[in-house]
Amino acid sequence: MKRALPFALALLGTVFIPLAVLLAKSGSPATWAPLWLSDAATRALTGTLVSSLGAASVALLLGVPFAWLVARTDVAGLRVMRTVLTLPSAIPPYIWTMGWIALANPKSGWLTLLVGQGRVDIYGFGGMAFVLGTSALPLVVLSTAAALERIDPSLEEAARLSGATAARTFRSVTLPLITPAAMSGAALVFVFASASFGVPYLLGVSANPPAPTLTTRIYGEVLMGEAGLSRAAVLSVELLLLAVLVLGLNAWIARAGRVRLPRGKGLGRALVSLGRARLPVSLGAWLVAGVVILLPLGAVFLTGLQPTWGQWGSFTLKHWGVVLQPRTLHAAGVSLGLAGAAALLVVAVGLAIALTRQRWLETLADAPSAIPGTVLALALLVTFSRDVRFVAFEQVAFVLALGNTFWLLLLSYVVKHLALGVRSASDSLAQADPTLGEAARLSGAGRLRAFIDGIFPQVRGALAGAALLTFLTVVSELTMSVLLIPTGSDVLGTLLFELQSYADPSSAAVIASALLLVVLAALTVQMSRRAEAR
Amino acid sequence: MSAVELTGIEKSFGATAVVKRLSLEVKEHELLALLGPSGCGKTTTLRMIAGLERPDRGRIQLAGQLVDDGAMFVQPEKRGLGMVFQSYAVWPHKSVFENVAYPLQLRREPAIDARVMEALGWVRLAALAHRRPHELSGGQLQRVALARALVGRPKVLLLDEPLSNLDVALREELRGEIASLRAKLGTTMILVTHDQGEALALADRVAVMNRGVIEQLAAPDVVYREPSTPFVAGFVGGANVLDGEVRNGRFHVEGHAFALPVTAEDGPVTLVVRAEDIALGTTGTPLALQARLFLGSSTEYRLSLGSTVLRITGPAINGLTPGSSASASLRAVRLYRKP
Repeated sequence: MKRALPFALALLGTVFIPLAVLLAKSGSPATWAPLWLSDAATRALTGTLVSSLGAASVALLLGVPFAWLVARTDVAGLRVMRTVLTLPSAIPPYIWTMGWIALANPKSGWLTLLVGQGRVDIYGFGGMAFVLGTSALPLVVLSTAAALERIDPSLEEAARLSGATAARTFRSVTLPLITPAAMSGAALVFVFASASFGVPYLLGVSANPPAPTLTTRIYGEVLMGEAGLSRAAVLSVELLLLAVLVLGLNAWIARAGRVRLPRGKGLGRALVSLGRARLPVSLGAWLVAGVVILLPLGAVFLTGLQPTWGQWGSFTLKHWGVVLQPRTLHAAGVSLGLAGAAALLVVAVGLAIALTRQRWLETLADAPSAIPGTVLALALLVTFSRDVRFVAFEQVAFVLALGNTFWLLLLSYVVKHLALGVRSASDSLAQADPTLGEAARLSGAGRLRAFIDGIFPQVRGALAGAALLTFLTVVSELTMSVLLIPTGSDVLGTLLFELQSYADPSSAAVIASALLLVVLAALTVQMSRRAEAR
Repeated sequence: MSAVELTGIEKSFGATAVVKRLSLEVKEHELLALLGPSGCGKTTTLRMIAGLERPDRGRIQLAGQLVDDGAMFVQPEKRGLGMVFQSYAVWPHKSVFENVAYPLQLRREPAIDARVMEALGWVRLAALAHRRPHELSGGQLQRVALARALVGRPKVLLLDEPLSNLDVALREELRGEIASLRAKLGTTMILVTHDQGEALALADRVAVMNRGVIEQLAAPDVVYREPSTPFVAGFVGGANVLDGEVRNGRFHVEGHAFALPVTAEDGPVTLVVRAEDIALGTTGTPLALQARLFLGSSTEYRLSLGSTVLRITGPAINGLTPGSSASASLRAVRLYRKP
């Protein structure tokens, strides 16, 4: 309890007090009504609801069949397909958007030219829902596939022996058992989509007619300075409430509709042989996965190689010079540094919090991950934009000057991803065998030494995984960075975003390609290490 | 006509042959037990009868009807079987009643309510009809599974280690329940188990399986008294199985020699002797006592025999403690000539 208190106070000061400050900024109950019900606010809220519901539907419609294919069938290229389907979670959504803009913009997209102008347009709410839904596909695929693998095969075999056909068994046994997992994945997609900034900005602001969402409106209001701040605060409260509402609803449904899946003791996963349908089903699945996942990534690479953006056919390396420009190198350096620091801090603080073994503190540290990045960043911005003075004993004064520094950016990265560190530390500690530490104690090791020699080796792998994931997320972070980046500086996310939306999409594609190569290399290293560990 | 007939069944998973040229006939109204250690192919055999696995070679007939011969295949739902699984496999999203009603609903049979309640009555669960599975104990879940498997009056009931997940007291209770249901309904049953007590107590005939083949198929008392192979003797009776050699009428093993109660020709043999068929006393072959285990009705002595151990059960003998020496003599043995 005593050890937990400093962490609780730190979280209070960096997350919950800033949120309260933001709430205060949103005005008083007297001024709420006109702000909440203003035309612009309503349109932004509607936009967020439409694009997020759309994204959840896209992810559900594509994700459940894919989950079934990779969890249960002998579809061709099974292992590669599993990897390809988890790829979107490692790549920032705005990079998918860049790919889709190159493919399906209404004037010069590659797909547009293929099927004829006027048939496809990635801009607007439809495109937004599609890109958000496909880039959040792993949330549905992974949770549904996990449920499918957890189902005891004999539950389905018992239905067959009772006289049900394979199709009837799927409908009356399998589907009801995986529905909670699929719906919970879809709820996470909704929250992810409603909190997303890059995708709705790139696809919504220049759409005709414009397609505003809460996050892009908030950004627009913040750009207007002090005048827009209270309107931005109101929209942030709406966005936060929406996330809390959906996550709460999801938790409630999960508890109410909980179906305990008994641990399978059968022969392991039941493989459905597709038989004669294997070739056509595999071809179809690979076609969809290829179009949805591989095509936009390919488009990003190809865009960086074309002499002029939107002109397909010839290739050049001239845009790749951008990689070595001072501004790019500076942004890359800042991003790598911040991501490294954030990854270390997330894991170290997460481990320290997990070691207090206080459930309430873990819950408290979990909470910021549910706060949309835009809201968290805005709260930190309004709270720390002016220096905060602490006066102790009426004599000593501390000045906390975080505004317009990288420290505030780092702080936002760490609290936003802290849940990752806490959860992986707490889960792996729960699974760790405590007797190894106890044996070290009885062999004469002190508490710290026993932890380092007995327990830490058991949690090291999980912590390294959490650090890598944090690093990959932060190195390309955009949503919070656009609000908190110090004036005149760049991180990779903001640089890419600026090049793509205003100046030079070809250079943006080059930097995105370089980033993709780094991400893919990191994933390959991690996967081969995991394969070795097995 | 036999209820189930397997002819020349072979099955491999990858490079491992799990079932090798197996032929088996199950008579109508019979309870046949497939007994063997894990990995012997008994569950795979049962799953092939159910239609949940397909044999690589061979034919399967149910009540004279061909259901699988490689070319033609009858889907599991069309075979008219019932099955009880080790893991209960009671659907967690359906109530007890809905679980048992499911097979009847699929066949659109009349008077479902009455028949479900009748089946629940067989397993004494009528009072729990509207409970959800997570409110039930393991023994109750397995009785639900039993009612669900029997409600449609299957031609054959397949039982896949039905009692293995239960604790000892429940196991004996449910064992009695299966026996009385069988007496009441006369259903043909195939029981897969690794528990020799279960097989011997319930079955009309026991097929002892090892490494994909049936080593002996006979009535329980015959399997127990006259095991046809050293494996069956070791697995079913828990007997000592010793590889050695007969020379001049004595059995030599691990540097020790035993007098034989029967006459035997010289040559390499496998000798099987039950723990209760060895006498400890002053005459016989002297061996060192390794451990002494009090079993309640008797005492087990473990004597070192080179690299193995000879197990003997008998009455407690005062003064015989670990470290001391005792003389063992064989009273009844079975000898198996080495091929």
